Amino acid sequence: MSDKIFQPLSILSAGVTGTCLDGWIESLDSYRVRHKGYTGLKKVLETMQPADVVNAVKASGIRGRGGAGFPTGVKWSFIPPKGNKHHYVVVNADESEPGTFSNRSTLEQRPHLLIEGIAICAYAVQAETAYVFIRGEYYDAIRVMEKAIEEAYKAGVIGKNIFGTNFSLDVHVHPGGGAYICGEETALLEALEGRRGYPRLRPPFPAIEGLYACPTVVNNVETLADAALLFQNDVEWFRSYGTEKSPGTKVYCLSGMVNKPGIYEAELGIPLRTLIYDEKFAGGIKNGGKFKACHPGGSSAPMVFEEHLDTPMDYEGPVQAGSVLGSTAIIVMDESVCLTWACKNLMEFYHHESCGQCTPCREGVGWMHKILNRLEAGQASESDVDLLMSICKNIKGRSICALGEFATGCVASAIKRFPEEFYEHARQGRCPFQKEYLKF
Amino acid sequence: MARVLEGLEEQIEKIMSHYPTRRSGMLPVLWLVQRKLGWVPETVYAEVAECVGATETEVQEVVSFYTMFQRKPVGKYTLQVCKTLPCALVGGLGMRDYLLQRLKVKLNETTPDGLFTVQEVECLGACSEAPLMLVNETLETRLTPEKVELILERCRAEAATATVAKA
Repeated sequence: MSDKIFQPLSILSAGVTGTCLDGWIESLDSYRVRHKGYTGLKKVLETMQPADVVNAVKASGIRGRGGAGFPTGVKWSFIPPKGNKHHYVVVNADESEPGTFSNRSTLEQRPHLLIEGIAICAYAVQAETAYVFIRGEYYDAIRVMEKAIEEAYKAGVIGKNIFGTNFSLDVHVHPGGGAYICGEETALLEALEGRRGYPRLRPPFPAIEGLYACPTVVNNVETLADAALLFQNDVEWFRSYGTEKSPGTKVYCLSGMVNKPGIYEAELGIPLRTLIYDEKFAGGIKNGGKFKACHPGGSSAPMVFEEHLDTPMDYEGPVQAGSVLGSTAIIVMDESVCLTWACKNLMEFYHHESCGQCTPCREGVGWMHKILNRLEAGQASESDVDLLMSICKNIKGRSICALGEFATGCVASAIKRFPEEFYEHARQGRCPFQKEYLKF
Repeated sequence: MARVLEGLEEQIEKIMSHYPTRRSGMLPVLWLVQRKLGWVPETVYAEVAECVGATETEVQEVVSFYTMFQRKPVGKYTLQVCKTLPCALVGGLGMRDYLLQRLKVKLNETTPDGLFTVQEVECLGACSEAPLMLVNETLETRLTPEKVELILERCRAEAATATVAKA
């Protein structure tokens, strides 16, 4: 396995004593000695043309790890040939999808794996500058990355004339300000340009007119980490993991009601059941509970249920189950969880995080939030449940970005599978669940 | 009135050297302001606008969009509790209520001693360690009532030491 993450995740468990970063951050030296660090970049710069790099990434079958799953090599190939314009690489480290925390560990523990990936990507698309856009709340990640970048400049693996070639690259960290929408790539570019994170209308796509209207590649942290690993090894090695259509490994985040919540690297295609129940992974449902539902790819991925537990967790599997692989953040809920309440909780999130540009999302998600509040408080009627479904239909596909649509996936999937639960709230005029899990 | 950005010139110019436009320095400069003052008052908009080459309205537009910028003064310690699903499934909301009860405040209110402000935030991206909160810039994880008490104690002690040192 490629060790995109280190276990155990002790940084996060540091608790009352504060963070104990030192000793858990991989230094440049350790990365070089123990993990073939920067040999991928060296190989690329000394023996390959930019087009060869793009072709190798295409051949490896790496797909966007942030959620969309777009083939990375194809994305890179959209960058036009070098002309007068500056080219940019932007790293999307605005990890804000509820349930997702895998990029955090790469940023905090393996910063050089990311920097090597950035440099390889920059060479492939002939970019001179890269920005790592890290969500503002990741204070430690920001500090670690800044320090690692400094270290990388000193070692000459970024900066002027890397490895004595005529390729030069500047890398900078840009902290966000707390906005989920900035994970949407064009909103992220707006934030980088010093404005509100409003998603842009496409076309033009970032590859043609991205940051400062220049050709720009926006990639997720794990995608670039995979690119580094690919060139430290080779295409055959990379494809020896995962499936034909979804090669490689993925860092899965398990949270909610499981025995061992955490991040686990596994091959793409691993069954959902294994991730939740196997002792090597989350080790089953907490307190011997029974599985009811989970979001397989962050809260934006529609819920899947017991009948879907054998779904292979690759790009195709969850789609068969009416969901998506998304950020592979698996939020597990047991039988005691009220799905009306869970939907209400998430609608609060989406309502708060909607940027407000498009009416269907701004008003529609807010409306769903209000209805779910009433339903949960026992003040809604049965027709309100049908109204929820109708709002879902009307938001879908009617706004600039996918945020509104993400919100509908959760509600629609829950109502379709457990309609009676929602109607019961209206009939009984109260929430029929005990909700022990709310207690501290 | 003294300029808020005074003394930060070197840091600001270093930031600006990273970008082709000064406008990109908007978020980083606002961060400098918040680190210095603890919040971003309206009175600083004109200065920031001048610094990044924007209008005051544009600065306000940005400050009001990004939730991490505090638009009102807060306590010495902001306790930002995650309320999103993964935390809420394991007692996160109960922890929020526990804090409010212990500190006898409402959300976004500051304790009379000026030490604590409790705020709700969305998913902080460390869900395996739920329930959790950010205490200023430190993530406090796997919280229990005992741990919360320890954290409050530690903050109080730290503040007291700082006061003595100042005197």
